[in-house]
This record gives sequence, C-alpha cells and structure tokens, in this order.
Amino acid sequence: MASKSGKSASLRLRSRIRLEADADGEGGMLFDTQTAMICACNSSAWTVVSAMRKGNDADKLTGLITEAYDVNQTTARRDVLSLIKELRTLDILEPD
Amino acid sequence: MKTPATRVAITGLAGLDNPEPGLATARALRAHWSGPLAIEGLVYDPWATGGWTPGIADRLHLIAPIAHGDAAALNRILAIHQEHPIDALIPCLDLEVPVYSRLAGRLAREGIQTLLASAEDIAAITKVSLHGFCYSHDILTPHTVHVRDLSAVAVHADHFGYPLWIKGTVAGAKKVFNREQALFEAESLAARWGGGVLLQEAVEGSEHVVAMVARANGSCLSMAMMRKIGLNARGKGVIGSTVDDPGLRRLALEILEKLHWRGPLELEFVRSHGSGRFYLLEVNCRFPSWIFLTEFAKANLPAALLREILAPGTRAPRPAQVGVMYARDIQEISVPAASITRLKRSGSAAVPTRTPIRRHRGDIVVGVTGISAFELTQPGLGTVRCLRAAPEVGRTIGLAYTPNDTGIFRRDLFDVCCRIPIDATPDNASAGDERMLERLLAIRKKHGMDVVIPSLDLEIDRFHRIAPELQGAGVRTLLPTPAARRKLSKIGLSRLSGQGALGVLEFPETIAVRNRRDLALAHKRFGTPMILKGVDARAARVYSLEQAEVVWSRFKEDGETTILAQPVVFGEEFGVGLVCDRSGRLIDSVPLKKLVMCERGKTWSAMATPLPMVVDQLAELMAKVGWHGPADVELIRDSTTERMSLIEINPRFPAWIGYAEMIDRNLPRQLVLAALDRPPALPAIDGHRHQDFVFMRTAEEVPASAVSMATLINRGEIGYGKD
Repeated sequence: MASKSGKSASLRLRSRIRLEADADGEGGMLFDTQTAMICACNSSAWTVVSAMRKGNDADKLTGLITEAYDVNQTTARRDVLSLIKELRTLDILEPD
Repeated sequence: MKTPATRVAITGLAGLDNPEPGLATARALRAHWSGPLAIEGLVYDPWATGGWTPGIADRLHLIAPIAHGDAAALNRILAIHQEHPIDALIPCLDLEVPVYSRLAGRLAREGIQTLLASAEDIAAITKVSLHGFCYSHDILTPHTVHVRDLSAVAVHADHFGYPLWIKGTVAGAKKVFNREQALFEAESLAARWGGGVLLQEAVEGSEHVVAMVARANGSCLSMAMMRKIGLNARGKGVIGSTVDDPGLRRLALEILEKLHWRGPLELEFVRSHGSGRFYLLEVNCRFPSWIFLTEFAKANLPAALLREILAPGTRAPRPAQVGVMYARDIQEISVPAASITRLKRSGSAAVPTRTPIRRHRGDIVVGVTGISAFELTQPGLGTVRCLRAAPEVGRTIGLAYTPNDTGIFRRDLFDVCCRIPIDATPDNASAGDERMLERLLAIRKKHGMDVVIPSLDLEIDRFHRIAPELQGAGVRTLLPTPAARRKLSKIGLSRLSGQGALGVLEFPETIAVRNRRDLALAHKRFGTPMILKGVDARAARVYSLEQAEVVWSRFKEDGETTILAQPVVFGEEFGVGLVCDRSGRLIDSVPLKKLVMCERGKTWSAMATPLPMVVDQLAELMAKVGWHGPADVELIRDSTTERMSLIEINPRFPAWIGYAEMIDRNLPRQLVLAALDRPPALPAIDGHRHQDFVFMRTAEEVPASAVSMATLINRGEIGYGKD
C-alpha cells in the first residue's frame, strides 16, 4: 500500500498492543494494554498482525498470506487491506 | 523461635451475588502475606456466606449493627480484642468506614491500628455529596440531582431525558428508559437505602476503575487500574482486566490530591465513547470487591495496606502487571450447622477447614451446559462439581455458549470447555437443532462424550428433539418429554390443582394476563404483593397496580406471550431436587429448606430437611406424567395454613445441586447412571450426614485470560486436562 508521498507505508502495531498466541500457535489475540480491548485472530489474521509487530507494508503482508495459504494475490490483498482498515478503526496501528 | 502471627480483623464478608469487598480483601491477604496471619471475620449475622469460606478467616464474630452507634461498635470490637487480639482493622463497607474512622484514636490506644480517611473527608465524597465535590474541584462528572421527595422523580427524570441512572443514596443503581421505569426503580431504591434517590445522566462509554492505597500523608502508596470487560445485566463487572492508561493514572492521582485521603480507595469512571474523556462516577472509601485481581497482577493492594498500617512508610509495591484478568465465579461450600449455632449463641465461632472434592477417574465422559455465573448461577456448575466426585465419571466437558461463561475458566472443574452454537435464528428451530447436533457430534468424536446434561430451561426442548440422533452416535440424554413438561408447567399445575390431582400439595390461584384489563382484574382479586410470571422463566413481585403495569409491559417487550398472575404465598421456601429414570420412577431426591436468597430470589444458603409427604406426592406426580431425568421443584409452606404450595417444576437440576454431593446424595451421578441404563448408586451408609451441614454459596474471583477467551472463539475449545 502506497502512502500519499508514494512510499510504501509501514504498518506497525502500537507499542501498547500485546500479542498472545493460542496454545497451538495457529491463531491468537491482540490485547490493548491501555483499554483492555481484546481482538481474537484466526490463523491468517494472526500471520498478518504478527508481521506488523516490527512494521511491514501491505505488499509484504499480502506476500505472507499467499505463501502460507492457498489463495490468489487479489484475494489476499483484499483481505489484508480489509484487516488493516479494521485495525485502524480500533486505533491499534501507529499513525502513518 | 516461632514468629507471632499478624492479627487482622476484616468486615464486609456478606453480599451474596453482589459481594461485599471483605472476602476478596481477606483472600488477597491470605494469598500474599508471608508470615503467619490470623484473620478475624467481623459479620452482622451468621449468613454472611463469604465469612465461612474455608481457609480464609480463622474465626467469625458477630458485631453490633451500625445503627446501634459508635459506642456499641467500639465495645464489641474491644470485647473481641480481649479474646482474640487484633493488630489491625480493615473495615470494608461504606457505611462503617466513617464509624471506625471516628473510633480510630481509641482503637489505636488499645493496640488496634487502622488507616482511614477522616469522617469529614469521607462525607465529602458520599454519593449524595460527590457532585458538589466534583463541581468545586473542577472534576468531570455526569450531571446528577439528589431528589429527596419521590413525587418529584418524574419531573426531574423527564427533564434529564432517557436513558438515565437512578441510584440509591448508599448503593444500588438501575438504568431506566422511561418515566414508569424511573418511578418503579426510585421507589425500590429509596425504600432500601432511604434519603430519596439520585438521578444521573447516562454517559455512554467503557467503565474503568482505580483501586488505591493512600499513605497517612495522602500520597499514593499503590494503585491498580482495571477496565470492566464483561458487565452483566445489573451493570456489575463480572470480567475485568488490569490496564495501564497514563491519562487515567494522571487523573486518579490529581483526584487523590484533592481528597486528602488515607487508606483504601476506589474511583469509578466512565470513559465517554463520544469525547474519550473520563467522567468520575463514584468514590468509595474502601477496597472494591474485585481487589483480589491485584494479587493475580502481583501488586497485592490489601497486603500493601496492611504493611503500611503496621509499619508506616513502607516501600511501594511493584506496579500491577497489565492485561491480567479475573472472572467472578462462585464457590459452594458446606458448613456444619453446629458452627452456625455456635456463632449465633456465643457470638464467635471457628471457621471449619476445607474438604477437597474427591476426584475420581471412571470411564464415563459427561458434557454439561449452563456453566456460567455471569448473570445468575447456572445449574451446570453445581452439576459438574457433583460429577467430579462420581467414581464412574472420568472426564467432564463444559459446553459454553460465549467466552463470558465464567465456567470456562474453571480448570478445577472441566477437562475441556467447548463452544456450542447460540440459537441465532429462533424462528427456524430445525436449523438451530441441526447446528447443535453437528457440534455435539463433533465433540463426541473428538472427546468421546457419553452423556450430555443440558442445564438451562430454554435448551431442554432442543436437546429432546435431537436426542435420538445423539443416542445413535453414542451420546445419551435423560430428559422429560414435552408432554410431561406441559403437564407440570405452571399452566398444567394450575389445571391439575383444579382437578384435585396434587394431593397434599396446593397450587396458588393463577390468572392468565392477556391485556391491561386482565391485569387490573388480577390486581383486584389478589391485592398486593402479587407475582407476575412468564411461562418458562422470570418472575417479579409487584406492590401496586402501577408497578404491575411496568413489569407486564417489560415482559411483553421481552417477548413473553403468556404472562401469569398469582397471589404471593407468604412462608418459608423449600426446594426439592430429584431425578427419575426412563420409566418415570423417582430414583433419588434432595429436599431442603432455603435459608438465604439473593435479591433475585436465588438460593445462596439452604439446609437439607426431610419432607417425606412432599417427596411421596412428587414421586406419584412424576410417575403419573412419565417424567424422565432431573427436576427442580420449588415450594412455599404457607405461614398461616402450614400447607405446602407448589410454585413451579423446572426440567433440570436446581442451581444449588452441588450441595447434593456434599451430603452424599449425588443426583447428577444418578442421572448419568440412569441415562446409560446402569443400576442406580446405593445410598450412602451414613444417612444422617445431610442433617449436619448447611449449603452456602459465595462469590469467588478466579484467574481469567484473554487467550482462553480468544481460543474458545477461534478454536471452539479450551483444553485443561490430559487427553
């Protein structure tokens, strides 16, 4: 995903967000330590948010999904963008 | 040389489903205190169920009611102090903190230390004064009006607009959505607490609470911030998590500075969804009832307070770990009747020690629904306690509808908890049946479930419909048929009563209320108080025609199609839990007398009592209608006629069923054996044991975790035992 400046925007979770994996490590949850908001993540969402811990762009995240799951680039990108939108609504991503 | 015990006295051990904070405070001290600790529990009557929790207080002592004045309170404490010396006193109830604050100097001279704010500072932040305090100190708070004259409630409520909160002057709060509800709740709260009511603007947002301990110089010794994650219908935080919000921390410290506080403190806030700003809702002059969370979060505030009381100037404990959660579940215990008698007669009694559940490892795997205490205590929790003690049962599966079901955090009760589908399309029963069947079969395949026990009224028809398919797959049930249920429903019992078919039992006259005219007729016939009931669940006692109309409208809005009116039967309440086999024969039963009921009419203390004529009559009735499986029978003995009135029969075990195992009458075990067509278990050899023990229930905070909740959502199950 490109920012207004044309550079690929880095998507990073806010530092107050804690990630905790399920017992089997295939999914997990996001926990906002300031608001106690809990967000359960399925396996594919977990792949994306785990990669956002240190910051990543939408292209890289889409690549992670297509590598890990049997899904085409278009669908993967749509799903990643939809998740990013949701995470922004929840205010758990660092601002651009 | 043996270290002498630290001796602390704690109040606030009652409260039932709205627990007072003393039990959590005592439990936190017990969990954390490093040296020997003696806890003297101070109670106002023997039915403070939290006080009897094994392993917490060493002894209980009756103390003088606050209304008897400061001198009576002081004399009683000093009398206890002579017998059982006290180093520190921690009062945990709003109304008694000012009393002990006034007595602090005299108590200190006798060697009893406290750390409490001055009575003047406490008076400045009572519910009635808080609005003025906030105004004068520029603290954001919802607009609040104290209405002393109840006839003015309607005018003020309409002026506020709806929804709004109606609050008691000491405790209690209800959100109301129209004028009728406002009047109803105002009457009820004012009758309980006196002094009129408070009307408060409803600020929509999330609820955040701060617990603190202030040193004698007013500085903050320790603080923990919590957000309520799961609030029940009464607005009580049943699930909560520690948080770290710098803005909230700053605000709490600013407020503390203005309070000139000493000792424990709770600040309650709502964070507006609209503005994101924190509004101060309440200041409480004691620890909150969730304070045990601070032990889970490794920042035990009660221990910090006790250290500061005994040796002022202690170091601040480490900050509370963030993201640590609690869920408020329940604990059920049996107390020797002799201990209660001793407390009543001598004013003091030792608290008996714990009898652990005797866990067995049989070959049967049982699934149980209704495993939550989030709203009311559901019967599945007691059922599974009984099954844990059944020698034939090897594993137990908790069947939960939501991650808020508090039972999912009970690793001591369940080997695994599995999510089952909520009926999202109640109009399409067959689709719901199919989803439930599919899920239960998947659980059977993975975990080998042999028997399933549905524990909620609204599930029974569904489980009965899918029982043949379940049986085909190896999952047995034992449930009453719809025909048997109809015959013993409230309407059915009214019919049987009319036919004289209830023998020694009576049934209150019943009028079906279809419209307001029927309601007025019922009111004219029965007078007040009168009971309004739905056909399956819910009931409300009303004291006027106006209240009856509010309740009737609420029931209609909630989808009740048939509403029944009955006169109130005055007298002692009894219950019978029973189980019948596939031929309708009564296998076993537990009759009991209810001793303590919570505000919502549920049993929190009871004692087994023989009711041979009632049980014989019920056995005949059950055989006649061909009842299969469990039943919860509610009765009242009319205090005038001494005749036993049948109130209702529910198609599942009562919520107090855990008591059955404590008195060696394990009805859930009998149900499992009957469901599998095995012979019933033989009765216990010591047949008199049941007369010696009283059932008690108390709230208990257990560790919860967001990961468990997320796992239940994502994976559909949480495993605790070994497969």
